[in-house]
Amino acid sequence: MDVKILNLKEKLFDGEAIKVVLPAVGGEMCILPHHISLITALVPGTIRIFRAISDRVVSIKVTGGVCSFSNNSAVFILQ
Amino acid sequence: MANLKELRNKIGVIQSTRKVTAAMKLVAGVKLRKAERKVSESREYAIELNRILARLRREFLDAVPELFAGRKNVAAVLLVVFSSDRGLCGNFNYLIQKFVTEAVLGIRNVGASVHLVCVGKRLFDYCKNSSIGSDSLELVADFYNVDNIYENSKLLAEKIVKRFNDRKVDNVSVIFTKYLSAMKQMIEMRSLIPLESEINHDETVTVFEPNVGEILQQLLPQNIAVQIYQSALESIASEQSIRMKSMDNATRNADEMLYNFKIKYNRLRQNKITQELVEVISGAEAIVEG
Repeated sequence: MDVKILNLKEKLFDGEAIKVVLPAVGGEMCILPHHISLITALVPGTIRIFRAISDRVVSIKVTGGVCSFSNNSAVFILQ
Repeated sequence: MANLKELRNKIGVIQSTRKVTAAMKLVAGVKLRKAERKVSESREYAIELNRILARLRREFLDAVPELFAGRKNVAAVLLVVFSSDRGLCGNFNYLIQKFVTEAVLGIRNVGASVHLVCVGKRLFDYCKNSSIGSDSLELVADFYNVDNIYENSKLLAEKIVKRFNDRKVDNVSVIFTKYLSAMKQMIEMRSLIPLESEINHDETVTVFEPNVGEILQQLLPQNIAVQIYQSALESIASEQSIRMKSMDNATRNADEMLYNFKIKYNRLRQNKITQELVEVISGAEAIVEG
């Protein structure tokens, strides 16, 4: 699936991933490819992006924002 | 005909003006590149945010919040207009003034009152001194302070939302110069309340967490701030590119004038030398003959 993480000043991440773990309002949430469409608010925490099984994990700290998942692509709008 | 001294002075003045315009062109070029980068970075953010809002809107078909769908009876319209703080940028401010004058007239013809918020001193000065016909006029000073533009946009957005919630205005739009390329800019009027969003035809079921209302409550004010921020950046980039263009023209004009004056100066100098030579020779001849 495609993952795009944006804040107002720059694009923090843009690429393929096999799994994303994010700090949602109701607790940590894991998104795998072909997840059902989703829009969730984020709370302060860390987004972890798993690019491939053996690859290292990309971690991005966030203070809040929104994550939207549809058509196998995740977009994070950070505050 | 001008004498040599006058011409020399004129050439000196044009040379120093040319130096100023050439320097301003360079400065505007650097600022333009910086602004251009910021515009393209925030544009994607604004587009994605708008897309998410469009998806949220679909869930609210009957009870869309007022901040999203606006009010049915529009009695007062708020226009937030972006002009520049400084001059020497060609027809940038003039075009905005013309557009705003027409927009105000159009809204008043429908029977609503118009409230103007000017970002940038130039437009404010113009509106203050002319009968543009708005019911109130407000200046947001020092908005374009390089590092604080987003903070300023947030403050402005909060003020706008408050005025809307207090029912002082029913409709809010921004007017700014959209930056298309270094050669092309276009004045655009975009509605903030009600929000202009693309229609979403995606029929898939979406899960919302915590719920649509709470997400909207967070996103709507943020979206207004982002739209204002985006408009400000577009306006800055347009201003700098127009300034660069007009300073380039000014430098070229100065070059042309310098060329003409120098030819005139040399011709005059040569005439003077020839005349003096003739006088000396005829004087010498007179002595020899005598």
